[in-house]
Amino acid sequence: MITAQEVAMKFSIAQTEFLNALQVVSSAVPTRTTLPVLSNILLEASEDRIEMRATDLDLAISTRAQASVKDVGTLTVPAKKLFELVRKLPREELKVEAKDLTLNIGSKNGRYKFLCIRPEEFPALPSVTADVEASLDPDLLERLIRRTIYSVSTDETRPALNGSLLQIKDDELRLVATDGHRLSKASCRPAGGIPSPPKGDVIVPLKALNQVLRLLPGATGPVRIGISKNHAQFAIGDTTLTTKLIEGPFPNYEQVLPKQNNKHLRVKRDDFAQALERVSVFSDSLTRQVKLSIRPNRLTLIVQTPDQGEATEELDAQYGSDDLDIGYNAAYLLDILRTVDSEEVDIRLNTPVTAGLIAPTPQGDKGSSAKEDLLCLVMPLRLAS
Amino acid sequence: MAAEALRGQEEALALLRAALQSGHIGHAYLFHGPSGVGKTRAALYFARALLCESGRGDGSSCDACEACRDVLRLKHPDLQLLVPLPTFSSEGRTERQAEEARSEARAAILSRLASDPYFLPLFAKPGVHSVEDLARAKQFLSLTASREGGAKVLILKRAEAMTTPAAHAFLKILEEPQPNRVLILGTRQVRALLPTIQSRCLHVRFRPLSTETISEVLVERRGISKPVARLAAATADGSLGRALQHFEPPLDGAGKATLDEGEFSRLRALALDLFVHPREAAILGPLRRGRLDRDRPRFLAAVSLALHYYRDVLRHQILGERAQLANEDLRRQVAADARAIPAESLTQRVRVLEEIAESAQSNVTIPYAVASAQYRMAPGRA
Repeated sequence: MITAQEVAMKFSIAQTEFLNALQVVSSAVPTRTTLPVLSNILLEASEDRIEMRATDLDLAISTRAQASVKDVGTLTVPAKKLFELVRKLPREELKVEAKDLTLNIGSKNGRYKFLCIRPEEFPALPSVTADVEASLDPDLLERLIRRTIYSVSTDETRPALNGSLLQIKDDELRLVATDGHRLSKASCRPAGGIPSPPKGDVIVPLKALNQVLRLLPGATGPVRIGISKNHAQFAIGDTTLTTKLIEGPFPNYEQVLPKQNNKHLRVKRDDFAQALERVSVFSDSLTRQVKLSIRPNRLTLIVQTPDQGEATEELDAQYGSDDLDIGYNAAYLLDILRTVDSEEVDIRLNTPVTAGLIAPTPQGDKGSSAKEDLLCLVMPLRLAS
Repeated sequence: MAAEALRGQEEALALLRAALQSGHIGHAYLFHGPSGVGKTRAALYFARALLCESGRGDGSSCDACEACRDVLRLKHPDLQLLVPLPTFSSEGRTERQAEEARSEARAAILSRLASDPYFLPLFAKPGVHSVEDLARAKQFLSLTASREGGAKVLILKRAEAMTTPAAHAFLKILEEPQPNRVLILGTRQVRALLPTIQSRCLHVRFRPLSTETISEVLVERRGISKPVARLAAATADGSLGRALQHFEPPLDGAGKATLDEGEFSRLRALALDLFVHPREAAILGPLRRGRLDRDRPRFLAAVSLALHYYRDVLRHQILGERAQLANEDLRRQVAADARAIPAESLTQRVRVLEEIAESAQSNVTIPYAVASAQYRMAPGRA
């Protein structure tokens, strides 16, 4: 056991550097906790840098900051207060010194003292020995996440759906999310291929996906993803995020993807999205129902809500099958259209009561070396006859 | 520590040990028995064995590895202990402030429990497990364990304190057992749980403790003098929780009521005033003085003390001076009452007291219950 006198640490660090790193880790600090030490950030000074770490036991974020270290050491500091102070300090060099169980920060004019908790109390970072490793371009990872995250269910009664399935199959890396009403599957073939044996099928919690999205802008090179049976790890620049996984099994999504949708509708994405935005002003606030009336080469959007009003809008489209009237939740369609970047979208339908599929139209080479693919499934709303 | 802290529960321990040794661990256990007889301590003992990392093979815990120590300190990431807490919703708090107060209370209780295995969280307002608590528990169980293939343990203290929606949420967890997840429910009243919950758990019975065991704990752990400890133990019906209640203020107590030995003696004096030697038309005064008019648990404790006094009187009537008394210090008074109160009247009074104890559990106004009791106990009405 280390005695109180041995807790010592001394370094100086630029305010901006300190603040940036604190910003990165602070969001992992839980707002309420039964374990007081989790409200703290672990600071560890070694050689020429400071390691910082925060965790809520499910998810941990650690990062590094440049500093000139005089004495190496480690201590946990109240996260909220430290962040608040550093944010308010002027841009200058800060002198940081730990003594016993206090952390002293000195600026040009001020002295600040934090009461700390022993570093041994802080939970150790789980050691992750990755069975599967992949390396992805940050932009690509961001697109994959954004194209599926809106479909993640927030219904606590089905925990397996409270995250995205991360699957490596057929040389593809896939993210799949569903809430029972819709499903999104985004996949890519990383340029360098996937070196590890493909056996990773894990569910990454929504919370972790949101954090990864938040951290991605700070990436300086490719993001390394490591997956073990119990954890997933994302290494983004100097920052590492480690998360527990959701115990599956994730539903067999391939089974629900319809294979007999032979009515092809193709529309301009922007026109469709903007028309939907306008007509849905009149839609029921709960169901957001909009009727798609599909005739040869013409798509009409109709909203009729008693007590609210009506709206119709006509669009040019490519369609050659039988007439079809089908109802959808406008918000679900818009969620998809927002994340598609092709000029047109392909919609494949069958009957007014079976799932429809939406996908971007195949594009020529955009310069991206990773072949990307997106497929979205939406269940229709039953129209009153 | 297990054996020492679980005196009197050999039967339950043997059952748990057998499960650990054979490796046939059930997915849900229901520990039932009076409060403060070691259900939570046994649950933590079981959790330690399940989470121990020393790999001893015989199912026991080493009590030395990081994991064992983390369980004892209640900070193991794969262990969650749920304690029922008042909603803190009144007193002009916003929902968020109430949730914060609740979270603080939870942290305080867990840290007390980690340092004192005999600590029993008591509240003046009844605690509940809310549906949000159970949602968090469900999330805890749905995430992977920190060790590959490791177990996750959820302990639910006072399971009968689940609100109806919470109980239904819990049923969902019970109905879909996940591998390597162990649920341990503690309860004083099996019947207060949904039958569908009862039937899905392995029942482990915990016995009332002996008067000696309870009084030893009161003396050793709480520094209470032997005679008072003995009286409190003898009137606790085998429940250490009940005995401790006299000496520990409720955590959400408004006033800084200090509960100590003197306070306990006063409570008994009051109980005798109200139910054994009532003076005419003196109900509200003594009730207020003893803070019994609003504090139901305290009122029930007073009723129980009066009942134990009558038990002593009855013993004395039958066995005479040989009788072992709970109220040993009042032997002369007990002897006098044994001569003065006829046996039929005694049984009538006991029946009345049992009735009002029951009605005070529901919503009967306390002064009314006392008035009714005094009227029915009055001489000549037996």
